Amino acid sequence: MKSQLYKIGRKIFGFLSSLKLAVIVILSLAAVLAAGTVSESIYDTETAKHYVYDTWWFAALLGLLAANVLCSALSRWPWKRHHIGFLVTHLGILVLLAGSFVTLLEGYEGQMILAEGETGKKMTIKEAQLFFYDADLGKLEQKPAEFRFNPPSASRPWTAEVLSGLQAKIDDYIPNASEEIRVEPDNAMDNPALKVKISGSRAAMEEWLFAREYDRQSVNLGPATLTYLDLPDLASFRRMLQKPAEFSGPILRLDGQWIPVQANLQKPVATRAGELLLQNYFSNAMVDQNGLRSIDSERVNPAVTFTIKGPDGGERHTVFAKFPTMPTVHGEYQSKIRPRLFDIPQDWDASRNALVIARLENGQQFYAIKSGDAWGEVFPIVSEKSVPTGWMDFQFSVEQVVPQARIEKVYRKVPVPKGKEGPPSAVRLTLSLGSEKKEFWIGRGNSRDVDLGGRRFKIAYGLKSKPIGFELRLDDFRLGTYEGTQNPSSYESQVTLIDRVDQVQNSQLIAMNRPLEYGKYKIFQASYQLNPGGPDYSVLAVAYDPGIFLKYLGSLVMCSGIVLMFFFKPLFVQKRIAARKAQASSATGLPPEIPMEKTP
Amino acid sequence: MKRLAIFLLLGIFSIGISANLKAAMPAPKPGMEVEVLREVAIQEGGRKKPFDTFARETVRSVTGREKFNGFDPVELILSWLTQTQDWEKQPILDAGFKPLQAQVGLKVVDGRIAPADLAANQEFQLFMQTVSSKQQDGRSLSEIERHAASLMKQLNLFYTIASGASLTLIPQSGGHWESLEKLAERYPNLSAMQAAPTTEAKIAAALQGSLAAYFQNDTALFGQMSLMLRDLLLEQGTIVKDYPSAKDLQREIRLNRLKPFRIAWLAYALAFFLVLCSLWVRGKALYLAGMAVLLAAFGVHIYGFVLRSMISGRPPVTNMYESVIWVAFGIVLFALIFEAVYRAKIYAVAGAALATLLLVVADSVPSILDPAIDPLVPVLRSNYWLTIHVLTITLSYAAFALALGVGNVSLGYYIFKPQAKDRIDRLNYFLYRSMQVGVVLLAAGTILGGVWANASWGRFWGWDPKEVWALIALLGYLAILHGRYAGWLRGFGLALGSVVSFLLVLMAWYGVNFILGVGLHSYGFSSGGARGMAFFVGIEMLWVAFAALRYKMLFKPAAQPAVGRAG
Repeated sequence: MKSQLYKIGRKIFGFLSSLKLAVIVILSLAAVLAAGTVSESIYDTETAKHYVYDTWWFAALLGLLAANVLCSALSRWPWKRHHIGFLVTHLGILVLLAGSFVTLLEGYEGQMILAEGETGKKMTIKEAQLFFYDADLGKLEQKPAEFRFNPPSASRPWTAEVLSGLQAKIDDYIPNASEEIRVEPDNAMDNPALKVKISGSRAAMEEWLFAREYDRQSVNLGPATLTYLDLPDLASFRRMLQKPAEFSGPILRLDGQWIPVQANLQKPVATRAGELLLQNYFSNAMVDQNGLRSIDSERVNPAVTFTIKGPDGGERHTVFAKFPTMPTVHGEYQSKIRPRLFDIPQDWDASRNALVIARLENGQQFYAIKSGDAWGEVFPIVSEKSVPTGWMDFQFSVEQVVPQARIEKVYRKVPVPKGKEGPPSAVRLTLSLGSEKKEFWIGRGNSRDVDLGGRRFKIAYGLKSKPIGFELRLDDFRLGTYEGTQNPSSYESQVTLIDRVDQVQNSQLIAMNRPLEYGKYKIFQASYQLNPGGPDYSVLAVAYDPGIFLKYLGSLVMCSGIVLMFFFKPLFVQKRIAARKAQASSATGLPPEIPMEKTP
Repeated sequence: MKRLAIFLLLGIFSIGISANLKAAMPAPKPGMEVEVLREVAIQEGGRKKPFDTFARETVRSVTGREKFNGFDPVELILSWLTQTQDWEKQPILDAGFKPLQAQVGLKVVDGRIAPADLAANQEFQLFMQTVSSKQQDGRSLSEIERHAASLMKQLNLFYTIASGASLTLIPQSGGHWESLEKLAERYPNLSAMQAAPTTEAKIAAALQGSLAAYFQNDTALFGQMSLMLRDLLLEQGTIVKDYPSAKDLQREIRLNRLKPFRIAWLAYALAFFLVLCSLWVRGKALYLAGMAVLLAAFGVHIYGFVLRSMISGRPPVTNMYESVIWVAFGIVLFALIFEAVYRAKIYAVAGAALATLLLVVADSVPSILDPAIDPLVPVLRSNYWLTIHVLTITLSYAAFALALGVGNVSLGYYIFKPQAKDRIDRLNYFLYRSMQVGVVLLAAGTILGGVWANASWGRFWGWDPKEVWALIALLGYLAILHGRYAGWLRGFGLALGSVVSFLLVLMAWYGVNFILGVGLHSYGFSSGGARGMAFFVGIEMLWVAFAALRYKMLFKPAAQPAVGRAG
């Protein structure tokens, strides 16, 4: 029995160490790789990766190569002097493959896109994920959601159960989806919207503006910047136009007084209602178990907390800019003051031509036009009436007003030319909890609040991200061009590296062929986007490759092995050569130093 | 309209515009000395170069050849400037691509079309609209569309030369030099020049003076004016502290004039012939003469790219043209080394033949292998990595090419002189040595590429087609070496393998950039030459098939061991 096993083992080892297998593996590897590059040429890189380079069978082929390399080296046991070159080469290949394996298992790479002035702490990894957040429990679950090569369909849906009992199902998928918004009246919403139209002899444009959706509050439409915002009354509007600098960012309105939030945080401010202490500002507030916190620095749901000490004692308020009608004071106590938070966009006054539409507390709407640096008078909005703007021959009109608007996103498939990056994907998601069910489309990069079965969820579809453990602030992005042309000659990002744990803060330059190494990461200049009139964007690649040392070591060992084997063999096989000299060289006319590779 | 500016300028010297409506092509003007203007610097294509280079490149782009109608390129530019109306009616644009002529109905004379005719061709302009929208979307163009786009470029180039808009000759502080057209707008007449007699105003005057002198065929005045113009431009360049030294300019003119790579291939061809003859002639004289010529050719070859390197400030391996020249250098280098070691003659023959072939290719298809020294994309701007990665990998191509050359000779012996066993054995041993050198360099070069990629793109290996094909070529040669070691590939198999696996090198070298056209090595992408390459590959394949058939017929299985070197 034992000898039988030994025989089989011997046979397998013999096969694994054979030259025949070596040549078969080498040739099939070459053929597979050739097919991979052709598929990349016909389709794209992702396709080649998915069907060739990232498959289990390709890994298996490399594994077979490693086994072959190892076994053939072992099969020469006991090793002789003349084996040195061969052994070193094969050892190098093994170390190189081991390094690649480590990279495959442990390594990852991602991106960091920073605008000038922005600080980044996380890298995004190019793997789409679905995020399910239970707003009541503060619990987050993520599911991988890469569907390009196995798109879910009605007959083959993707399903998952998340957050104890929530059933998620995806039954449709658009790989490249253009996003359009549709505005629908909805009494449950507190979200004023209006559609403005700018038309002139050269062009006509329409755009929806939302007073409380901060990313859709203002738009740059060719000739001018249009902004739609909440304001308490007409007097405030006039004051805002007179002193634009004071009306930017979050401002607390208290008893007729305007108090800029950022400048007065944690400072006692005397007001008519008493002494005010602004405690915290949250740009994207969210309530969880521990109270209020900000999810990120995006301006999505601004809120402010403060205390006020009046003659009747102290009060603690939480004010949301988005929900002006919500009671702001804690407990059942009815406050006398009615604070409101206004979060005014930074750039409403920045361009030479601008339009501001203000929605007052009483529901009336007024507009003012800035033409060539000067603001004009304030007028009431009359629907569908065209008004000359003074920006060339453009006219503006409000086409539609929806005081309580719900935004529905509509996704449509768009063709993407080869080699171009199209818009991101969208999925049709059905959530069900018990007998309740909700179905909606969601595009990558979006999130959505869903109330289902008495629970509040937040659903997001986006790229995976990973904290890098330190911060990078992009101070300046510079694009060098060749003289007299627009052709780039260099890309450089001047960054400040901040590590709060190790108390490091210093200035660094990241450029092509000049990466920044910090911690376990290497950060490279990958790409950029110039943004005339605004901050430029720098695209940095972030990579963690724990296998790199092994790969370099293996490469070095392998190359030295080949050199030893090919050019220094006479050093190791002198004896054999000498013995053969007489018979071989005289017979063939070959120079005497020719090594004989194979003994017959 | 702007292109008339120069004519208005000329007007102040009261020259009548020749209303030559008859189709007579302007001819070179004897006695016009344009040497001085060659050394004037122009800022174009992202660097400063002598006007000589600019003129050669431009004339080559527009007309398809460097010397058009007997004109010196520099003089031709002057002629275009001063006699635009005559020139635009002449068939000068290279429009030899027949399918395009048929597609849009071009009025072609001997494969050429007149700029005015092309500009007036509605069908062509319409066709170009779809082409440029395709280009903007980044979609790939068909062959006809590519030719249309290139013809459009020629047309634009002609008119921007004629208007002076692309003649950015006037040094300015702040990087962007000013064009002749702009200068003419600022100094529309003599009083504007006299109002503020700055260097620039003087330049404007000298410029108009020289153009007028050229137009009026006044050789003496032209000589004076062009000298004055050169000195004034130098003065202006000194003022803005941005002008190349006379030494640099002259060096580049020397390269343009000497055409060292052309001399080199002529000499390589001669060396090939001499050493080849020495195979049959007794005595060493012919062989030594051949080797001397080979060495001399090698010297000129080296001198050529040392000049080129000094001009471009980087190792000369940044585009297809340079890599072809560099590989030719590598082939001769290895051939000389092996020749020194083995005195085999065959290395010299194969090396000289291959070097001649490559340099002829580099010299004869400027539209595919563009010899212009262009700026590099940012990622390539690292002389350190360019030197160690690209030089290593292209040297490996050279070693494999030498193996290919020797392999072909060996196949020839199998076909025509199969009884010369010793000779064949020696040949096969030589090609084996070349392959070994190639394998070492290719392995090292591919890995160095990974190390560079790790420093610039952030990963050691990313399955980029260029990397992958280098690996495939390496695997191909490794399969052969293992097959030889196992005894499966004897002499004939090895010779066959050296030829067949060189196709993998061609794919890695040319195919990835010109056929696949994907991946991160996109700075080397181009098109064209597929037919020539297919021809070469086809011939090699036929030759190999013929050799294999012949081998089969001659050596029946029983006789086989007699030829393969019993190792």
